[in-house]
Amino acid sequence: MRTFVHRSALVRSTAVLAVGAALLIGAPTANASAAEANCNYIDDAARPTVNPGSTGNAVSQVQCLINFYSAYPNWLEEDGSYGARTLAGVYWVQTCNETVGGADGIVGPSTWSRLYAPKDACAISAL
Amino acid sequence: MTSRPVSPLPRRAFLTALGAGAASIALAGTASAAPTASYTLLSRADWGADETLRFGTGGTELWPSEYYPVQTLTVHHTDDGSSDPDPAAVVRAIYRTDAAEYGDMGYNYLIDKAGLVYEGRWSGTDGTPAHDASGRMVTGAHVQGYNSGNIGIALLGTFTTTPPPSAARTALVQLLADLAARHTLAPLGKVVYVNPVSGVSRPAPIIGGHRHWAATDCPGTLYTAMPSIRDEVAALLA
Repeated sequence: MRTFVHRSALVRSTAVLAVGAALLIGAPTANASAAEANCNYIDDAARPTVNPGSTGNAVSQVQCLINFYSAYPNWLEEDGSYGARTLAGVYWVQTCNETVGGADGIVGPSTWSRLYAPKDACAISAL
Repeated sequence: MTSRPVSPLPRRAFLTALGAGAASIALAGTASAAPTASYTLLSRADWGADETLRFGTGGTELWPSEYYPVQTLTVHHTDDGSSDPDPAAVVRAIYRTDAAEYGDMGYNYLIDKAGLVYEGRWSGTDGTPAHDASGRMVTGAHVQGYNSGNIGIALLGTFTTTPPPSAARTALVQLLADLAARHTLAPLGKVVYVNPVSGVSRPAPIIGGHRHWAATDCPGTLYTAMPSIRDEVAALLA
Protein backbone atom coordinates (compact mmCIF):
# COMPACT_ATOMS: atom_id res chain seq x y z
CA MET A 1 0.00 0.00 0.00
CA ARG A 2 1.29 3.39 -0.99
CA THR A 3 1.78 5.93 1.77
CA PHE A 4 2.43 9.11 -0.20
CA VAL A 5 -0.30 11.68 -0.31
CA HIS A 6 -1.00 14.54 -2.64
CA ARG A 7 -3.51 17.28 -3.05
CA SER A 8 -5.86 15.56 -5.47
CA ALA A 9 -8.91 13.61 -4.55
CA LEU A 10 -9.71 16.12 -1.85
CA VAL A 11 -13.37 15.37 -1.58
CA ARG A 12 -14.06 12.23 -3.57
CA SER A 13 -16.29 10.80 -0.91
CA THR A 14 -16.40 10.35 2.81
CA ALA A 15 -15.32 6.75 2.33
CA VAL A 16 -12.22 7.80 0.43
CA LEU A 17 -11.51 10.45 3.01
CA ALA A 18 -11.66 7.84 5.73
CA VAL A 19 -9.16 5.70 3.85
CA GLY A 20 -7.00 8.74 3.22
CA ALA A 21 -7.03 9.61 6.89
CA ALA A 22 -5.79 6.15 7.72
CA LEU A 23 -3.03 6.48 5.17
CA LEU A 24 -1.89 9.74 6.68
CA ILE A 25 -0.34 7.88 9.59
CA GLY A 26 3.36 7.82 8.94
CA ALA A 27 2.95 9.63 5.63
CA PRO A 28 4.79 12.78 4.59
CA THR A 29 3.07 15.77 6.11
CA ALA A 30 4.21 18.52 3.78
CA ASN A 31 1.08 17.93 1.72
CA ALA A 32 -1.68 17.01 4.12
CA SER A 33 -4.50 15.73 2.00
CA ALA A 34 -6.25 12.48 1.20
CA ALA A 35 -4.46 9.92 -0.89
CA GLU A 36 -5.83 8.80 -4.20
CA ALA A 37 -7.14 5.36 -3.36
CA ASN A 38 -8.31 3.76 -6.57
CA CYS A 39 -5.28 3.58 -8.85
CA ASN A 40 -2.22 1.87 -7.41
CA TYR A 41 -0.15 0.78 -10.40
CA ILE A 42 2.57 3.28 -9.46
CA ASP A 43 3.13 5.70 -6.63
CA ASP A 44 1.10 8.88 -6.93
CA ALA A 45 4.31 10.89 -6.60
CA ALA A 46 5.98 9.05 -9.48
CA ARG A 47 5.05 10.87 -12.63
CA PRO A 48 7.30 9.67 -15.44
CA THR A 49 6.72 11.05 -18.90
CA VAL A 50 4.47 8.65 -20.78
CA ASN A 51 4.22 8.64 -24.57
CA PRO A 52 2.08 6.91 -27.19
CA GLY A 53 3.58 3.45 -27.58
CA SER A 54 4.76 3.33 -23.98
CA THR A 55 4.06 0.20 -21.96
CA GLY A 56 4.06 -0.63 -18.28
CA ASN A 57 2.58 0.34 -14.97
CA ALA A 58 2.74 4.08 -15.59
CA VAL A 59 0.48 3.57 -18.60
CA SER A 60 -1.90 1.47 -16.49
CA GLN A 61 -1.93 4.30 -13.97
CA VAL A 62 -2.89 6.80 -16.69
CA GLN A 63 -5.66 4.50 -17.91
CA CYS A 64 -6.94 3.93 -14.38
CA LEU A 65 -6.92 7.63 -13.51
CA ILE A 66 -8.93 8.46 -16.62
CA ASN A 67 -11.41 5.71 -15.75
CA PHE A 68 -11.88 6.81 -12.17
CA TYR A 69 -11.55 10.60 -12.27
CA SER A 70 -12.23 11.96 -15.75
CA ALA A 71 -15.52 12.45 -17.53
CA TYR A 72 -14.03 10.82 -20.63
CA PRO A 73 -17.03 8.77 -21.74
CA ASN A 74 -15.29 5.55 -22.83
CA TRP A 75 -13.84 2.84 -20.61
CA LEU A 76 -10.10 2.19 -21.00
CA GLU A 77 -8.66 -1.24 -20.30
CA GLU A 78 -5.91 -0.93 -17.70
CA ASP A 79 -3.54 -3.06 -19.73
CA GLY A 80 -0.41 -0.93 -19.62
CA SER A 81 -0.33 -0.53 -23.37
CA TYR A 82 -0.54 3.03 -24.72
CA GLY A 83 -2.39 2.53 -27.99
CA ALA A 84 -5.03 4.38 -29.98
CA ARG A 85 -7.78 4.02 -27.38
CA THR A 86 -5.59 5.42 -24.63
CA LEU A 87 -4.40 8.19 -26.92
CA ALA A 88 -8.00 9.26 -27.51
CA GLY A 89 -8.51 9.42 -23.75
CA VAL A 90 -5.32 11.43 -23.14
CA TYR A 91 -6.23 13.84 -25.94
CA TRP A 92 -9.62 14.31 -24.31
CA VAL A 93 -8.10 15.01 -20.89
CA GLN A 94 -5.56 17.43 -22.33
CA THR A 95 -8.15 19.27 -24.39
CA CYS A 96 -10.74 19.52 -21.64
CA ASN A 97 -8.25 20.64 -19.00
CA GLU A 98 -6.26 22.88 -21.33
CA THR A 99 -3.00 21.35 -20.19
CA VAL A 100 0.36 22.93 -20.95
CA GLY A 101 1.53 22.01 -24.43
CA GLY A 102 -1.97 21.23 -25.69
CA ALA A 103 -3.32 17.90 -26.84
CA ASP A 104 -0.09 16.16 -27.81
CA GLY A 105 -0.64 12.75 -26.22
CA ILE A 106 2.47 13.16 -24.08
CA VAL A 107 1.72 12.73 -20.39
CA GLY A 108 4.02 15.21 -18.64
CA PRO A 109 3.70 17.15 -15.38
CA SER A 110 0.71 19.25 -16.44
CA THR A 111 -1.26 16.28 -17.71
CA TRP A 112 -0.35 14.11 -14.69
CA SER A 113 -1.65 16.88 -12.46
CA ARG A 114 -4.99 16.97 -14.26
CA LEU A 115 -5.25 13.18 -14.30
CA TYR A 116 -5.25 13.29 -10.51
CA ALA A 117 -7.20 16.53 -10.18
CA PRO A 118 -9.28 17.33 -13.27
CA LYS A 119 -11.04 20.63 -13.66
CA ASP A 120 -14.61 20.33 -12.41
CA ALA A 121 -16.03 20.35 -15.93
CA CYS A 122 -13.70 17.47 -16.87
CA ALA A 123 -14.19 15.40 -13.71
CA ILE A 124 -16.15 12.16 -13.65
CA SER A 125 -18.85 13.87 -11.62
CA ALA A 126 -19.64 15.72 -14.86
CA LEU A 127 -20.13 12.44 -16.78
CA MET B 1 -27.65 6.94 -16.38
CA THR B 2 -30.49 6.54 -18.77
CA SER B 3 -32.59 3.50 -19.19
CA ARG B 4 -35.36 3.33 -21.70
CA PRO B 5 -37.46 0.23 -22.04
CA VAL B 6 -37.45 -0.56 -25.74
CA SER B 7 -40.57 -2.58 -26.46
CA PRO B 8 -39.67 -5.90 -24.87
CA LEU B 9 -40.20 -8.66 -27.35
CA PRO B 10 -42.98 -11.02 -26.35
CA ARG B 11 -41.39 -14.42 -26.26
CA ARG B 12 -44.65 -16.21 -26.78
CA ALA B 13 -45.14 -14.67 -30.18
CA PHE B 14 -41.85 -16.14 -31.36
CA LEU B 15 -42.59 -19.48 -29.81
CA THR B 16 -45.86 -19.59 -31.64
CA ALA B 17 -44.23 -18.63 -34.87
CA LEU B 18 -41.56 -21.28 -34.58
CA GLY B 19 -43.66 -23.84 -32.85
CA ALA B 20 -40.66 -25.77 -31.62
CA GLY B 21 -39.85 -24.03 -28.39
CA ALA B 22 -36.88 -22.08 -29.63
CA ALA B 23 -37.38 -18.39 -30.00
CA SER B 24 -35.40 -16.53 -32.61
CA ILE B 25 -35.02 -12.98 -31.42
CA ALA B 26 -34.60 -10.53 -34.23
CA LEU B 27 -33.36 -7.21 -32.99
CA ALA B 28 -35.99 -4.60 -33.52
CA GLY B 29 -35.05 -2.28 -36.31
CA THR B 30 -35.56 1.29 -35.19
CA ALA B 31 -34.43 4.65 -36.38
CA SER B 32 -31.67 4.76 -33.78
CA ALA B 33 -30.53 1.18 -34.08
CA ALA B 34 -31.15 -1.17 -36.94
CA PRO B 35 -28.95 -4.17 -36.31
CA THR B 36 -29.58 -7.30 -38.28
CA ALA B 37 -28.25 -9.80 -35.80
CA SER B 38 -30.42 -12.36 -34.12
CA TYR B 39 -29.94 -15.07 -31.55
CA THR B 40 -31.99 -18.02 -30.48
CA LEU B 41 -33.39 -17.99 -26.97
CA LEU B 42 -34.53 -20.90 -24.85
CA SER B 43 -36.97 -20.01 -22.09
CA ARG B 44 -36.82 -21.60 -18.66
CA ALA B 45 -39.62 -23.92 -19.72
CA ASP B 46 -37.66 -24.80 -22.87
CA TRP B 47 -34.57 -25.91 -20.95
CA GLY B 48 -36.60 -27.64 -18.26
CA ALA B 49 -36.22 -25.40 -15.22
CA ASP B 50 -37.81 -26.99 -12.18
CA GLU B 51 -39.65 -23.96 -10.83
CA THR B 52 -40.24 -25.65 -7.48
CA LEU B 53 -36.54 -25.13 -6.69
CA ARG B 54 -37.26 -21.44 -6.18
CA PHE B 55 -39.56 -22.18 -3.24
CA GLY B 56 -39.03 -23.40 0.29
CA THR B 57 -40.88 -26.18 2.00
CA GLY B 58 -43.67 -23.86 3.12
CA GLY B 59 -44.19 -22.61 -0.42
CA THR B 60 -42.30 -19.42 0.32
CA GLU B 61 -40.32 -17.92 -2.53
CA LEU B 62 -36.68 -18.23 -1.45
CA TRP B 63 -35.48 -15.00 -3.01
CA PRO B 64 -38.33 -12.66 -4.06
CA SER B 65 -37.59 -10.87 -7.32
CA GLU B 66 -36.40 -7.28 -7.36
CA TYR B 67 -36.31 -5.13 -10.48
CA TYR B 68 -34.14 -2.11 -11.31
CA PRO B 69 -33.11 -0.16 -14.41
CA VAL B 70 -30.17 -1.67 -16.31
CA GLN B 71 -26.84 0.13 -15.92
CA THR B 72 -24.23 -2.42 -16.98
CA LEU B 73 -23.76 -5.75 -18.78
CA THR B 74 -21.27 -8.19 -17.26
CA VAL B 75 -19.81 -11.30 -18.90
CA HIS B 76 -18.81 -14.51 -17.10
CA HIS B 77 -17.69 -18.01 -17.87
CA THR B 78 -19.45 -20.67 -15.81
CA ASP B 79 -16.27 -22.62 -15.02
CA ASP B 80 -18.58 -25.34 -13.73
CA GLY B 81 -16.37 -28.26 -14.64
CA SER B 82 -19.16 -30.21 -16.26
CA SER B 83 -18.39 -32.64 -19.07
CA ASP B 84 -22.04 -33.35 -19.81
CA PRO B 85 -22.51 -33.11 -23.60
CA ASP B 86 -26.07 -31.81 -23.17
CA PRO B 87 -25.84 -28.04 -22.51
CA ALA B 88 -29.43 -27.88 -21.21
CA ALA B 89 -28.47 -30.44 -18.59
CA VAL B 90 -25.50 -28.28 -17.61
CA VAL B 91 -27.78 -25.27 -17.30
CA ARG B 92 -30.16 -27.28 -15.12
CA ALA B 93 -27.26 -28.39 -12.92
CA ILE B 94 -26.01 -24.83 -12.47
CA TYR B 95 -29.57 -23.79 -11.67
CA ARG B 96 -29.84 -26.47 -8.98
CA THR B 97 -26.57 -25.38 -7.40
CA ASP B 98 -27.39 -21.68 -7.57
CA ALA B 99 -30.96 -22.15 -6.32
CA ALA B 100 -29.63 -23.71 -3.13
CA GLU B 101 -27.47 -20.65 -2.52
CA TYR B 102 -29.21 -17.73 -4.23
CA GLY B 103 -32.79 -18.94 -4.53
CA ASP B 104 -32.52 -19.19 -8.31
CA MET B 105 -30.04 -19.07 -11.18
CA GLY B 106 -27.43 -16.41 -10.44
CA TYR B 107 -27.03 -15.35 -14.10
CA ASN B 108 -29.62 -13.51 -16.16
CA TYR B 109 -28.60 -15.30 -19.36
CA LEU B 110 -26.36 -18.22 -20.32
CA ILE B 111 -24.91 -19.11 -23.72
CA ASP B 112 -23.84 -22.58 -24.84
CA LYS B 113 -21.08 -23.59 -27.25
CA ALA B 114 -23.49 -23.65 -30.18
CA GLY B 115 -24.58 -20.09 -29.44
CA LEU B 116 -27.99 -20.91 -28.00
CA VAL B 117 -29.05 -18.38 -25.36
CA TYR B 118 -30.75 -19.63 -22.20
CA GLU B 119 -33.05 -17.54 -20.04
CA GLY B 120 -31.49 -17.35 -16.59
CA ARG B 121 -33.04 -16.03 -13.43
CA TRP B 122 -36.83 -16.02 -13.32
CA SER B 123 -38.29 -12.58 -14.02
CA GLY B 124 -42.04 -12.68 -13.80
CA THR B 125 -44.82 -13.95 -15.98
CA ASP B 126 -44.80 -11.33 -18.72
CA GLY B 127 -42.71 -13.50 -21.03
CA THR B 128 -39.72 -11.16 -21.27
CA PRO B 129 -36.50 -12.91 -20.24
CA ALA B 130 -34.50 -11.20 -17.50
CA HIS B 131 -36.87 -8.21 -17.41
CA ASP B 132 -40.25 -7.20 -16.08
CA ALA B 133 -42.94 -5.77 -18.34
CA SER B 134 -41.64 -2.23 -17.88
CA GLY B 135 -38.12 -3.15 -19.00
CA ARG B 136 -36.41 -3.24 -15.62
CA MET B 137 -34.07 -6.17 -15.04
CA VAL B 138 -34.39 -8.75 -12.32
CA THR B 139 -31.55 -8.65 -9.81
CA GLY B 140 -29.37 -11.74 -10.15
CA ALA B 141 -26.42 -13.05 -8.16
CA HIS B 142 -23.22 -12.92 -10.18
CA VAL B 143 -21.00 -10.10 -8.89
CA GLN B 144 -20.91 -9.69 -5.15
CA GLY B 145 -22.15 -6.26 -4.13
CA TYR B 146 -22.95 -5.18 -7.68
CA ASN B 147 -25.93 -7.21 -8.83
CA SER B 148 -28.80 -4.74 -8.94
CA GLY B 149 -28.93 -3.07 -12.34
CA ASN B 150 -26.11 -5.29 -13.61
CA ILE B 151 -27.09 -7.99 -16.11
CA GLY B 152 -25.02 -11.19 -15.84
CA ILE B 153 -24.34 -13.21 -18.98
CA ALA B 154 -22.39 -16.46 -18.67
CA LEU B 155 -20.80 -18.57 -21.38
CA LEU B 156 -20.92 -22.26 -20.54
CA GLY B 157 -17.42 -23.56 -20.05
CA THR B 158 -13.99 -22.62 -18.78
CA PHE B 159 -12.06 -20.18 -20.95
CA THR B 160 -9.14 -19.37 -18.69
CA THR B 161 -6.60 -20.11 -21.42
CA THR B 162 -8.69 -20.69 -24.53
CA PRO B 163 -11.12 -18.52 -26.48
CA PRO B 164 -14.80 -19.46 -26.43
CA PRO B 165 -16.30 -21.24 -29.44
CA SER B 166 -16.98 -18.73 -32.21
CA ALA B 167 -20.73 -19.48 -32.18
CA ALA B 168 -20.86 -18.66 -28.48
CA ARG B 169 -18.94 -15.44 -28.96
CA THR B 170 -21.15 -14.42 -31.87
CA ALA B 171 -24.30 -14.99 -29.81
CA LEU B 172 -22.75 -13.03 -26.94
CA VAL B 173 -22.15 -10.04 -29.20
CA GLN B 174 -25.70 -10.29 -30.54
CA LEU B 175 -27.21 -10.51 -27.05
CA LEU B 176 -25.10 -7.60 -25.83
CA ALA B 177 -26.20 -5.55 -28.85
CA ASP B 178 -29.85 -6.38 -28.21
CA LEU B 179 -29.54 -5.31 -24.57
CA ALA B 180 -27.52 -2.19 -25.38
CA ALA B 181 -30.15 -1.12 -27.90
CA ARG B 182 -33.05 -1.81 -25.56
CA HIS B 183 -31.47 0.10 -22.70
CA THR B 184 -29.77 2.82 -24.72
CA LEU B 185 -26.31 1.85 -23.50
CA ALA B 186 -23.11 3.00 -25.22
CA PRO B 187 -21.12 -0.16 -26.02
CA LEU B 188 -17.70 1.48 -25.52
CA GLY B 189 -18.82 3.59 -22.61
CA LYS B 190 -18.31 3.85 -18.91
CA VAL B 191 -20.83 4.68 -16.25
CA VAL B 192 -20.73 5.60 -12.60
CA TYR B 193 -22.60 2.52 -11.47
CA VAL B 194 -24.74 3.11 -8.41
CA ASN B 195 -26.12 0.13 -6.52
CA PRO B 196 -29.73 1.21 -5.97
CA VAL B 197 -29.98 -0.91 -2.81
CA SER B 198 -26.70 -0.27 -0.99
CA GLY B 199 -25.88 3.12 -2.49
CA VAL B 200 -22.33 1.97 -3.26
CA SER B 201 -21.00 3.52 -6.46
CA ARG B 202 -17.96 3.14 -8.69
CA PRO B 203 -16.95 3.76 -12.29
CA ALA B 204 -17.38 0.68 -14.47
CA PRO B 205 -17.38 -0.30 -18.11
CA ILE B 206 -20.93 -0.47 -19.47
CA ILE B 207 -19.91 -3.77 -21.12
CA GLY B 208 -17.35 -5.59 -19.02
CA GLY B 209 -16.33 -8.86 -17.46
CA HIS B 210 -16.55 -10.16 -13.91
CA ARG B 211 -12.89 -9.23 -13.51
CA HIS B 212 -13.70 -5.55 -14.10
CA TRP B 213 -15.62 -5.67 -10.82
CA ALA B 214 -13.66 -8.07 -8.63
CA ALA B 215 -10.39 -9.93 -8.25
CA THR B 216 -11.16 -13.07 -10.26
CA ASP B 217 -10.01 -14.98 -13.36
CA CYS B 218 -13.58 -14.89 -14.69
CA PRO B 219 -14.35 -14.58 -17.60
CA GLY B 220 -10.93 -15.85 -18.66
CA THR B 221 -9.79 -14.82 -22.14
CA LEU B 222 -13.04 -12.92 -22.62
CA TYR B 223 -11.55 -10.26 -20.34
CA THR B 224 -8.79 -9.27 -22.73
CA ALA B 225 -11.19 -9.73 -25.65
CA MET B 226 -13.54 -7.13 -24.22
CA PRO B 227 -12.37 -4.17 -26.35
CA SER B 228 -12.98 -6.10 -29.57
CA ILE B 229 -16.29 -7.44 -28.26
CA ARG B 230 -17.39 -3.87 -27.52
CA ASP B 231 -16.35 -2.82 -31.02
CA GLU B 232 -18.37 -5.65 -32.54
CA VAL B 233 -21.41 -4.66 -30.48
CA ALA B 234 -21.01 -1.05 -31.60
CA ALA B 235 -20.72 -2.19 -35.21
CA LEU B 236 -24.00 -4.10 -34.94
CA LEU B 237 -25.71 -1.00 -33.61
CA ALA B 238 -24.18 1.43 -36.08
